[in-house]
Amino acid sequence: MSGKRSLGRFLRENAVILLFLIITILAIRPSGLSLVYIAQELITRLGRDSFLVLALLLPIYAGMGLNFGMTLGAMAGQFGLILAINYNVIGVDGLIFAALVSLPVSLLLGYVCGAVLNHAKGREMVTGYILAFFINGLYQFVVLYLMGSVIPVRSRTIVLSRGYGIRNTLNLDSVRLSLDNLLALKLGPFTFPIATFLVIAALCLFIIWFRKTKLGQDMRSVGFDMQVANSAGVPVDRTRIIAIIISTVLACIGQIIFLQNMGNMATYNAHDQTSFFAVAAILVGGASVKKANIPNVFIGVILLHGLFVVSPNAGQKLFGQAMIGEYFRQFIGYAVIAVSLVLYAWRARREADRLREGLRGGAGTPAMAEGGAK
Amino acid sequence: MSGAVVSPQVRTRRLVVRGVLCVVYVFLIGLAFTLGKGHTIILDNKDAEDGSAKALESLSISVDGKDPIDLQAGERDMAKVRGQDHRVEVVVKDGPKVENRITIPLREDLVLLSIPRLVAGLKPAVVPFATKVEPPAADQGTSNAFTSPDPGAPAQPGAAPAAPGTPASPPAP
Repeated sequence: MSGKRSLGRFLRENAVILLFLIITILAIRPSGLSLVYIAQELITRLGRDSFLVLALLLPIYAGMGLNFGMTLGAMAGQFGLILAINYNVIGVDGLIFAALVSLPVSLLLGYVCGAVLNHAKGREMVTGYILAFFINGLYQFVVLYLMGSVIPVRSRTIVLSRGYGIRNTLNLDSVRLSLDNLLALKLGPFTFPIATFLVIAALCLFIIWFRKTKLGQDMRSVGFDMQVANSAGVPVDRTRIIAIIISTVLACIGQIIFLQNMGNMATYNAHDQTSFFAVAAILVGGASVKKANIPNVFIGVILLHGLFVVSPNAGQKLFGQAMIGEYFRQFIGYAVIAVSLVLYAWRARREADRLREGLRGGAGTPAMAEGGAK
Repeated sequence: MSGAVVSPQVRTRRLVVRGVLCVVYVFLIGLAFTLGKGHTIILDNKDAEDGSAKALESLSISVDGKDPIDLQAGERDMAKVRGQDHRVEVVVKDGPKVENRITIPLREDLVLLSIPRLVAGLKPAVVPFATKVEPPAADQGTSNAFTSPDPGAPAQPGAAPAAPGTPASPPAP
């Protein structure tokens, strides 16, 4: 009886992961792709996306949910890359230059985002999502009108032929794969971007260390209960702002790593889907709005991208159109977010009901109720 | 934290530390820019404009120890490099092997290296390469459907490196 219950609990808790795993495994055969190819793609995408997804962890620790505002950091990163291309700073130095130039911008945007989210406590996710649209307008204004007219642009290859504004798509050949190829290790049929993995590992270590610091503990206590944290003397608003600033800065660097791997940049919409896919990945990895850890990130990236790799080919083979696979990607991404949020809400309500029942029967305590609701 | 009274000395010290950090930060940006600045060198084996050196019949040139490029008289090729200082090694067929260091001005993306002048020991062997910029056509600039060309490619068709015999804009003296 107990075994059946624990199995049911396991299935409930890992419903999204299992769903993804099953769909991906079923899609591998119709896709016709070799396992070696899929594995290599996953290794590449692990290096490309993990940093961005890791950027979501701190706001979750601080109880701010999934930081859709990370798009702001992505925009800052793109701005830095545009400058690197403009001044023809190439290779890893170009990436460092882009990161250094965009860091103050992402700090500022992170502060703005954190300050706004402090005015929308409890509705951080939707506020961050809408804020990203607003800042997107500013970004477009700067890149489309100010660059080349107010902000000097030296490289004619990136300017629109009218003389100002940046072209729709930028060729990032000068920095393409510069980090991935810095320390590329070839093992059998696989190539591992060791330098990128080292950067990601450094970020993981930073997150583990940060959780143990005073600020990290404050962040977790704020995430657990803001009122209690405030009563205990933790500066709640400041802690939340710091969480968002760090997340935005990490998103900025993550977007630079992402784009150096891609090799080109859609100037006006590369950042649109950044938060969307990062959020989908961490949710697929088993995280929730309130709870996430580092393994969730890697499991999520592998599962989400596993499906992304096989779905176009599977769509082509099964339906005769590769576009169906592409639509499938979008559909799956949004569906994962929706299912995860619904499951989270369902679980939270169920837990609250259970505790309420317990209180009525005298089995629970108010303290348990508070803790359990988290 | 916010309520704590900070003494003037501590405030000054903080200000100094923050100022130093800002300076270090700007220095790092400058360092990344200087070390990572990419340049395209046009390796030119044509007669010097002023007639001071004749094109070499056949040679092999290597920049920073990379794979050597073979050039005949009147030919051009290009090399992409990073940073300002570079080692150039020229092996002239049936002639001397010349090793030299060149420095590219930081602001120049595109420079022309006159190999005959380099081999002859004349200076300057490296000159900025000016490309002629034509204004866009009247109907351009309204479409969104364009992408940036390869940044390493010449800004204008036929500007650089030109095929032998193709007229190119003269290097600035």
